[in-house]
Order: sequence, then structure tokens, then C-alpha cells
Amino acid sequence: MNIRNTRHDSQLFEKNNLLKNRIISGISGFNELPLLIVNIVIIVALIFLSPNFLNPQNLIAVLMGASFDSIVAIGMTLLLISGGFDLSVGSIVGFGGVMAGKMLVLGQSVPVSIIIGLLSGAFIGFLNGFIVTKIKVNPLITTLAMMQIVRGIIYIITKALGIPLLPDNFSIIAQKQFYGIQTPVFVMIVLVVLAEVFYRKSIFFKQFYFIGGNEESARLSGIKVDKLKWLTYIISGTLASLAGILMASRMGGAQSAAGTGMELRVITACVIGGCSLSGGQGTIFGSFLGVLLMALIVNAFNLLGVSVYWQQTATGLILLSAVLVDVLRRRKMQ
Amino acid sequence: MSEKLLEAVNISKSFFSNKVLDDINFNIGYGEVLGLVGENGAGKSTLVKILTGVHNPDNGYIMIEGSKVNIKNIGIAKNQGINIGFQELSLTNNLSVAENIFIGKIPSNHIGFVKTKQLYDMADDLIKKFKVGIQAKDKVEKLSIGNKQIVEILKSISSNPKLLILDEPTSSLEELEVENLFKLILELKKNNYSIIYISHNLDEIFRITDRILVLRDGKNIGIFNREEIDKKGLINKIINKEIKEFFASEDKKAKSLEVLLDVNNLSDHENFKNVSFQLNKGEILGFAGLVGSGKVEVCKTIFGLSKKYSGDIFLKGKKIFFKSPVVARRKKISFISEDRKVSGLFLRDSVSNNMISEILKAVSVANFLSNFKVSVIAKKFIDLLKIKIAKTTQNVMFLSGGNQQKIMVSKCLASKPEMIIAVDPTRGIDIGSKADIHEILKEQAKKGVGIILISSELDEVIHMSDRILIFVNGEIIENINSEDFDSQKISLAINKGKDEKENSK
Repeated sequence: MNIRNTRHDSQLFEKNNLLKNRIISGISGFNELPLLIVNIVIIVALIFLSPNFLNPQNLIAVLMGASFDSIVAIGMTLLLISGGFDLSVGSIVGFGGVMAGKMLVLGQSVPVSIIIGLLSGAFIGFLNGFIVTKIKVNPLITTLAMMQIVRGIIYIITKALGIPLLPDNFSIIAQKQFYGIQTPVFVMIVLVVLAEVFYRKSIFFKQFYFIGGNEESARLSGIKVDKLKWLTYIISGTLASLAGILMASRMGGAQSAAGTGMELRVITACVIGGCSLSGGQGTIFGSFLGVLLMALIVNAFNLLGVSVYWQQTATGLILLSAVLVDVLRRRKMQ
Repeated sequence: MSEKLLEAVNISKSFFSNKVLDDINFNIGYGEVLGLVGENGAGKSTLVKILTGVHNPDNGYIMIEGSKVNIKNIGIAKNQGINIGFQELSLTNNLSVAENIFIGKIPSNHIGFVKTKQLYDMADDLIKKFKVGIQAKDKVEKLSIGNKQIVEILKSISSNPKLLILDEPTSSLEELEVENLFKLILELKKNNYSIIYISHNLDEIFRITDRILVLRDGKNIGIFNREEIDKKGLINKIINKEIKEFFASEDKKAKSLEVLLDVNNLSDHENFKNVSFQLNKGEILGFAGLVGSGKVEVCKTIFGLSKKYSGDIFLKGKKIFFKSPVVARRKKISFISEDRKVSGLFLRDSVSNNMISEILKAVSVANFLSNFKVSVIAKKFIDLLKIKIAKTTQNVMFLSGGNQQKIMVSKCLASKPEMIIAVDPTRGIDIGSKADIHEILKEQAKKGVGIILISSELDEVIHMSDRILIFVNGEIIENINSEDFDSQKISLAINKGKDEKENSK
């Protein structure tokens, strides 16, 4: 290739292929497309395979099932984008619900209880962030430890019984229905839309992509790397406790085992949705589609009467194939 | 036995309709070092890939020791004794030097236990044979990059190849480490190994090679004996254009004497002490010195990467405590880092995102990114620095070193800095890109930007700077103005510290 001619050639090339390029880049820029198609295929298949699928109650149940995971996934996506990781979100879900419940039982008002529930989640995130960014312990170890510490504290506070029978004025929050749809679904929709817009376009959140892409470069670019990473854990903890409070309200009681196993499910959904464990990549829309896919699979298995034992196998297979597709796509780019 | 180890005859290769190699002929004798030079895209890597069996030529053939060989795949290349030392290191950090050298062929007894003594003896033999100063039992993670590079080469040698291909082996080495590597190459030569040495650094090419093969646009421009050609002549062959004043000092006009940065008695009590100097607006100030002379550490301290320092730093007459890069960036200081992959670029991100990473505020409307503003910035710098890419959404990872480096420079310039700290701004890139970056830095200086320049090539510092500070053992020992630049004197001054250090030992 003649270096001095390349510019001319490439201009010519670009002119000839302007339309083609635009279409290709439009599609290749829309990384969530394959996942969206998979979701649609499953929905269409279920419409044909099961008469109950389109039943409004069933659809609402699917969305309800996705709502708590989606709220947690918003925080997890931010963590993964910035190169972090949080295994303690499941325990924080339980902790947020139990702390709010405890406050209600102690006679605090509903708003105060909710705020204390949120703050307790934020506090655990604050600790995670402190240990990871200031003491520089690996996030996997930090949050693995925190997951067990927090779950233990829940059992200690509630003597492993949880906090059953919460007052009605608290339970009504998540049980109230508008057009048959319960509050957590609305909360999910609002948060997902907001987060999608902000993560994609706002310059504040753009910084997290840079941190995850190359922490050293980000630091040299004048980005406050440690402070922002710390913040991701606080955001994640707060959102997890919000999910926990909604869950407790919906159930009418805070269960001590609430949120168990959620951390891996949410991370799986985010990775299916395009987040990379090495940071720098991911979108809320993708993560949401990942959560939705997993909720649809659970629903499909229930509707079709397949044993629950197959659900985990299927989830694992989907995770593997999602990662495979990504690896293949990257190899092609090379 | 033929007198030539390898002969390539009429090698051609096209990708689609693009002719990448056009009728290339060359040969390599036993114990010969053949330099391979050319700009990015000239066909060097394709040629290497044909020799190592990654690609097959469309036309032509290769003879090894007088017989025609069809190098169909990597395995055949290895069997024929062609080995490549990779630019990126492929060592296992937590294993010893010996284990790394013999990885894959570690001697073991019949139940599979490692014969430790034999392993270390074998490694010691190699180390002694080539007179390299490392210990077989050392963990690789403890070695400097230069010594890692040497282990990497020993690893290639351990399979006893006939031809070793070294692709930019010095791109991440400091001066002293380069010397050690060259010693090793000379030892290899003595032992009759043949080497193809690829580098953009022409000084190295002239020092170490016997003959030089120049490729341009996939054509063989000629093979020159080292004595036959000088640097200027070689550059003209490589780029087919007279670069005026390349590495020649141009008339240096009087710069404004408005002080931008004033450093007083700066010490970090570890790497440097009592460093005082001033940087004027529009001045390019070169820092010269050996590795460990403190020149890089001083820059990092000014940029806020090391909080513990004593002494005062004044910026435009105001005293400032540089406690983090955030402060430095706010004061309009920009840093071109020495390693674009480790601490410069966001490799998995797009060209335009890299360019705007320091100016997010400026390309946004109400704190949201504006696609239009981003594309304006991207276009501006692609034109300004002659960056060759297909589209701005392209991933930076797969671009050539020269283009990557230009993107890193754009990223820094986009923030409209008043002062630039450039550490090795042209490391390991082709001559064309190098000239582009030099031009842009000089232009910035003309606009009044103060620049501190560090380079692993002394010639680059001399060529670019208005003034040079010489660092020895953490102190500035001399301040030389451009009228008095003399590369021999400077290099003597730099090495003064080394001799003193050795004497005191």
C-alpha cells in the first residue's frame, strides 16, 4: 500500500460505499441486536407453544420476576463497566429488606424505614468501595467476604426467622396495582430507561467506560479513578437495598434468605447482555435484555412443565453461547 | 552445503486485489544480521509471516541451505529452524528463568518429575555461552523488561534455530538494556546464528546489522551494505521523499522569556534531589539522562503521580501543590505517556472516544455527549496528524503503532494544554509518523505551549529541544543551550554518572 495514496483511496472507497458503510456500522454499532432477536424468538415460540403465555397475569408475572434483578443489574452493569465486581448484592438485597422491616417493627414511619433500608445498602457498598479502592483488595475477595458477613448479620438480627408480617401501609407500596401492574415493574421501567440514557450519553458516566477500558490511562487523563470506583459500589449497594425493600413490601415480610443466589444470576444476565468481566464494555439495555431472557426461560419451563432442574442447565448454556458469540465476533474483527 | 542459509526468490503476495509483496528477492548468510526496514504497510510483517509459515506466498519460493522448502505452516517453519522473537513478551512471570527458557521441553525422569539440577545446568550453559548477566534461578517477575527480552530470546534459541527474527526488540527497552541486547546479538552472530532484525530505529539498524533490506509499497527497494549508505540516504529510500531538516537542527528563533513553570529545589528523597529549573512559554526543554537518573520521576512528580515531594513548583508564578493528575489536568498540563498500551490508550474503545477522553465537557451539551461535536474533534485531529483509519468508530487496538501514537497525541492536544510532558512520544513508530509528531509538537511550541521532552533516543532530544538539562544520579548537572548542542559531549556527560557509580561500587 502506498502510504501517500491511502488517503485518496480511502476517500474514494468511502464515497462508493457510503450507504453500505452506514448500514453496516448501524448494525454493528447495535450490539444488543442478536440478544433482542433471541428474546423475540423465545416470545414468539411461547405464544405458539403455550396458550397461557399471553395471559396478562402471566406476562405481569414475568415482568415482576425480572424487576428485582433488573434494578440490581443497573448497579452491577456500572460496576462491570468500570472493571469492578460485586458478589455481595444478593446479601444486600436481604439486608435492605430486613433493616427497613426492623425499623418498621421498632415503630418508625414508612419513609424513615425505607430511607434507613437504603442507607444500610449504601453503607455496605461504601465499605466495599473503601476496601477495594483504598486498601486495594481484589474486588472478588472483598465482596465474597462481604456477602457472607452481611448474610450472617441478617441471621443474627432476625435469628434466621426474617421479619414477617410487616404493616399494611408498607406492604401496599409494592402490592398496589395500576392497570394490573405492580409498583416494582414501574420502578424498574423508570430506572432502566433513565440509566440507559445516562450511561450511553452523559459525560459523567462515560468516565466509567474509560476507567474500565484502561485505569492507568484514565488516571493520566485526569479522571478521579478511585473516587468514581468507590461510588460504583455505593450505587450498587443502594440499588440492591432498594430491590430488597420492594421485595419485602411485595411479600409483606422481610425474609432472611431473600436475594440468595441473586448475585450470580445478575452477573450472568449482564455478561449475556454484553458486559465484559475485564471492564470497559456493557449497556443497560443489554443487561436488561439479559435479565429478561432469563426470566423468559424460567417462565417457559414453568409453562411447558419442564423440570426446574433443567433451568440452571439452560441458563449455563445460554451464558456459554453468549460468551462464545462474543469471542467469535471479536476474532472476526481482528 | 550452500553458502547462504536462506534464499527468498521472487516472493509475491496479494490480499484481495492489493499487492502487498511484489517480487521480493533476498538472501541471508550464516552468522549474518540482516536489517529489515520500511514504513508501516511496506510489507515487512507480511514477509515475516511468509517466512514463519503464517501466510503462503502466491508466487516464488524459499530455499533453505540450498534446497527448496515449502513453508506451509508454523510447524514446518519451526522444524526448518526459523524462529521469531515476539515484540510482546510471552513469559510466565512466577516461574524461574530456566523454567521459562525450557518451557515445553523441561527434562524429567520416567515418572514425570522434573530433573531440577539438569534444568538449571542447561540454563546456566546457555547463559554462560551468550554471556548474559542473569541468574537461572531468578523469578522472571523480578527481571527488568530488558532482561525479560533476553530470556525471551534465549527461549527461542533453546530450540536451536538457524534463523532468528527479531521484530522491534528494543521498542520497550531503555538505553542500557539495549546495549545488553546488542551484546547478546553479537554473541549469537559469533555462534553462527543468522538474524533478521526489524526496527524503525535507524541508529540501531546501523549499529547492529550487516546488510539492510528496504521495502517500500511491497517492493524491494534495495539491499545495502551498512557501509554503503548513510542515515539520510536510507531515510530517502524508505519514504521516497526528501524530508528536509530531518534530524538536522533548524534555525532556532529566540523564544519568549515568559516563565511558565518554575521548579525550585524539588526532591522526592528517593530518585532525585535539589532539582531546579524553569520552563518558558513556547520552549521545548529536553531532559537527557540514563535510566534511573531521575528524569522521568521528576516529570511524574510534576504531573502529580507521586505525592511525596519537597520543594516548590510554581506555575505562571503561582505556587501549586500537585497532589494528583486531576490537579495537573485542571492546570492545563497534559502527559504523553511512555507506553501507549499500558497507560496511554483505551485500546478496546473507538478512535473518537479515545480522542475526547480528556475533553468530555467540551464535546457535550448539558452534560450529554454531542455526536456532532465529537465528530468535529475527531475529524480535526485525523487531518491534523494525518491519521490513517477507515472510520472513527474503529477500535484502536488493531491500528498500527504509528496511528495509535498519533491518537494518543491527539488526545493530549485536544485538551488545549498550556504545557505538555512528552515521555518518548515517538517510541517504536515509523519514520513518517515520527516526522508528523515532531512537526505537531514544534507547532504547539510556536503557539506558546511549554514542552518537556524525554526520549530514549538522544538524537530526538537534540533535534527537538531548545535547551537540554542533563540528569545524572537524580541531579541536574548541566544546562545546555541549542547553540552548544554536541551529541558526543552530551552523551559523555550523561554517562559520567554511570562511571562514577561503578567506581564507587
